This record gives sequence, C-alpha cells and structure tokens, in this order.
Amino acid sequence: MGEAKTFINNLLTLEVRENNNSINICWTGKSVDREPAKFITPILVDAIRKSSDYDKRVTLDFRELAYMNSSTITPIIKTLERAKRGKTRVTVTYLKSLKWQDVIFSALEIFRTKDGRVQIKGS
Amino acid sequence: MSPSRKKDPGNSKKRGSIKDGGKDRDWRNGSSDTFIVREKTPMKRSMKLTVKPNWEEIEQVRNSSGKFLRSHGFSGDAVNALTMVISELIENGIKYGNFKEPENKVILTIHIGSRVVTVEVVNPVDETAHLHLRRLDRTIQWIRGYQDPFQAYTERIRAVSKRPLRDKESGLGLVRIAYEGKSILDFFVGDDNVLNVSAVSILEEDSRR
Repeated sequence: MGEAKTFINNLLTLEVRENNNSINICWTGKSVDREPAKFITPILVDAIRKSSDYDKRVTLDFRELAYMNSSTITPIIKTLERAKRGKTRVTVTYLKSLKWQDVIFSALEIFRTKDGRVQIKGS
Repeated sequence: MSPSRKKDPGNSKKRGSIKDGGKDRDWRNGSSDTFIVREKTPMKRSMKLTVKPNWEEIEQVRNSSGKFLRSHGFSGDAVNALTMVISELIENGIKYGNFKEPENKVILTIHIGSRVVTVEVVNPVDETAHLHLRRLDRTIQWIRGYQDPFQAYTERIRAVSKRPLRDKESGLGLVRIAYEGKSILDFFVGDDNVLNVSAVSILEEDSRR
C-alpha cells in the first residue's frame, strides 16, 4: 500500500506517491510562478530526506508537465547536484517526443552518476 | 542610462514598429490595457501586445502569442520554444522595469519573417536597473563566447546547481533562450530610458506544419 499526497500551487500540481521502495513525484500543469522554488523546494527536500533515511529511490516524473519557467529549473538542478554528491537515488523521467522536454531534460545528463544512483531517462 | 551595448540610433522608431495603416486591433480578456495589433504584408507578419506589469499577465501573453503563432502554421514544438522565449523576456521586463508611473507598461512585438522570428520586449527602466543592465550585457557577451549554446547552458546549470537552496537567483533565463529557443539575443537602452531586448530565432525546416 502506498501513500499519496497532492500539492497544488497556481497552475502546478505535484503528486507525491510513496511506497516501501520509492517516492514518485509526478509534475502536471505549468510552473509559472515568480518564485516557484518556495513551493517546490520543501517538497523535494522532504523527498530526498526520506530517500536517504529509508533508502528509497525518488522519481521526478515530468512527462505530464506542459511548461516550466527557468526559475523552476533551479530547485530541480540543485536537488540533482545534492543527490549526485550524496547517496540518494534519483531518477528524472521525461517525454522524449516533446521537444522542449527533450532539450531541457537531456541536458541534465551532467548529473548522471556512473553507479546509476542518479538517472536521467527519456521515454 | 548606462551601460548600454548599443545606443538607439536617435529616434524613437524601433525596428519593425507597427505602422498606422491597415492595422487590426483585437481586444482580449476584457483587459483595457492588453491588445493585439496585427499587420500583414507579403513579407512580414507582426503582433504587438501592451502588457500590464503584473505577473499574472504573463500566462495570458503566452496564450495569445501561442494562438498567433499557431495561426501562422508553426508546429507545436516551435510554438513551445517561441512562447518560452517570450515568457522569459517578459518576466525580466516585469522584474527589472520601472513601473512607478501607471502608464508604464511592457510592450511585446513578434515579427514573423520568412526565416526568422524576432521577439522584442520593451520596458522603461530607471537607475535601479543599473546592475541588471550590467548583468544583461555580461551574460549576452558570455553566451556569444560559445559556439554552441548547449555548452553555455550546461555550464550555467552546473554553476547554479551548486548555489545554496535558499538562493533565489535563477540566472538561467537568457541562456535558456539561446539554447532551447535557438535565439540570438541583443539589447539597447534608448535615450528615453527604455530598454529594448530582442531575441532572433532562426527557423528550422520543421518549424512550420
């Protein structure tokens, strides 16, 4: 059995589903706020903390996201950088067929780790 | 206002400004300040929006711009890229513009050429924008130093990702315009303290449906 929580801010919805092995954060809608990090960062920090404490893989699923401004990219890459330096397991999932997602998220390959802890996956 | 990379050539007429003749005004969303002016000629198509400096206006501008671009046959991917460019430039205009006077607004112009789309965002600035203008100048020069904007983008991502979580600064907007929007950025400040930032996007073969 998993636990699900939904966080909504303006046009953006983050649905966090947690089970024994993983924490899945599904992004839907648009992230257009002036300071989106205020909403996003606490959710990501909490997921990363739980991931470390309980050895769960965090998946950031962007496939349903329609748009995000550049201020939204900042908390995401800061989370990936910290995951890369730490022990957290994180997967970024995006839609390769959507060009803007392919362009933005494939560039996050720079955070990929050789041991597979941090993965960037286009589907 | 200094610094400026390129001075306005001394008149108030901007590149591709809308002419009086034959324009078609289209009032949207009941807003008394946001309107569209379309001009169609055999070689060029334009849209002009006057935008109130409220963050909530940006999404309306994205929708209007997307509709305009789609009506001219642009593909979904091209519309996404161009509306991203428009949004990022308007965000900067609202963040760093001088809107102390109620008549001060952000003005967006989109010009569709046969091979390029030019996005221009114009807004008044005052002395408090000095740091922003220096950073704008430095960032555009820095991006131009890279043959491939992808390299500039990944370098900036690396740098920003190492900053503290509480640090509000993104610093990714312009480099994203260059990389994802495939655009060449430029700016100048006119004698009337009006900042004009332009992004010229070179159209790819699959940009139109």
